[in-house]
Amino acid sequence: MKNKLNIKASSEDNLRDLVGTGGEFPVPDGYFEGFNERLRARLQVQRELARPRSKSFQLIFAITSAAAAVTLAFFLFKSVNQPPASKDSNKWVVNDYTEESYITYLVYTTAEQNLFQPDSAFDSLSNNDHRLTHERAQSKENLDPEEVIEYLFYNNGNVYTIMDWK
Amino acid sequence: MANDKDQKILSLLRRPETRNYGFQLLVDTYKERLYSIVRRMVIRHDDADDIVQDVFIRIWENIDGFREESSLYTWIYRIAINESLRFLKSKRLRLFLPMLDISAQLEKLIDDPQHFSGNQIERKLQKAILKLPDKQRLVFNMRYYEGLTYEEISEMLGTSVGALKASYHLAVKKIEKYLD
Repeated sequence: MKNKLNIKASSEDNLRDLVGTGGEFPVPDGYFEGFNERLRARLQVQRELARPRSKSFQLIFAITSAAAAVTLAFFLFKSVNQPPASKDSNKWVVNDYTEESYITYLVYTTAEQNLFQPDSAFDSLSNNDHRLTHERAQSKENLDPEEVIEYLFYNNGNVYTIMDWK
Repeated sequence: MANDKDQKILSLLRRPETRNYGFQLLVDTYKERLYSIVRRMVIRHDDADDIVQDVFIRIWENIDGFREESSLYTWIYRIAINESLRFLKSKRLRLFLPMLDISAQLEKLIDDPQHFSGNQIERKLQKAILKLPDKQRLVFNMRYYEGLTYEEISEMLGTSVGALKASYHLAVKKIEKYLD
């Protein structure tokens, strides 16, 4: 044990004798002289960051956050309730479920003679369209319960709603 | 040695009206020593500067929590050591590099006179030291360059004196082998 410790001491001394403790890591001129000033500046920044914000700032922040949350919720709700868009991009899709939209659509898309015969406007509809049309909904005859359910499903129960019009 | 001065610093720091002066005295007393030990670990001046400033900021923020269970000197060194080791670890993680690659990067800096000035053998010694694992390198630097006793290092690192002696001996052996 004693020998081992001697070897250790000897080894350390050898290294010191052989290499010494020279060599320097250069420090920029004036580094230590300006250190306190730089540290003070950093501490000032730290204090600014840690300082609690004023009440007016907190109020504005809270109002802005609430407004943003309401807006986001509105758009999310709207997009969730929106029916899926038609896969065929050529189809004219009415996204606004109002009667006015439907009338506007008729004015712009129906031939002039048909405007005076409103029922004929529905003639252009494909007979294969499985959805319940306005005309068929009004007829009260031959209503297939499945069609009614499907209609209500796609139109949220609004009789005048048009959502996918060819 | 530093105990009287440390006590004076602490008493100044404890009183609100002398707190700033006490902190200034603490910075003046320790900045060069801390810089030296940190610089030997991270090699780059800019990194050492950032770490030493971080150390003093941590001291400023936590001085009220200092319970004097160890000396001020030990406590300050411990913070500096932890910050240096954390820096090296985060650098390794950030760059996804194993220890050897970081060492290789630091070794390149030793050849640059901007980062190290010394003769060929001193340069070679620095490169050999950089090949040691971080903690072993730390123990070697503290003992070889800073002249700290094993007892002081033990208190700072929370490692037994025996383990430190073994670590230091192993480090010297590795370095001698590299220098041969």
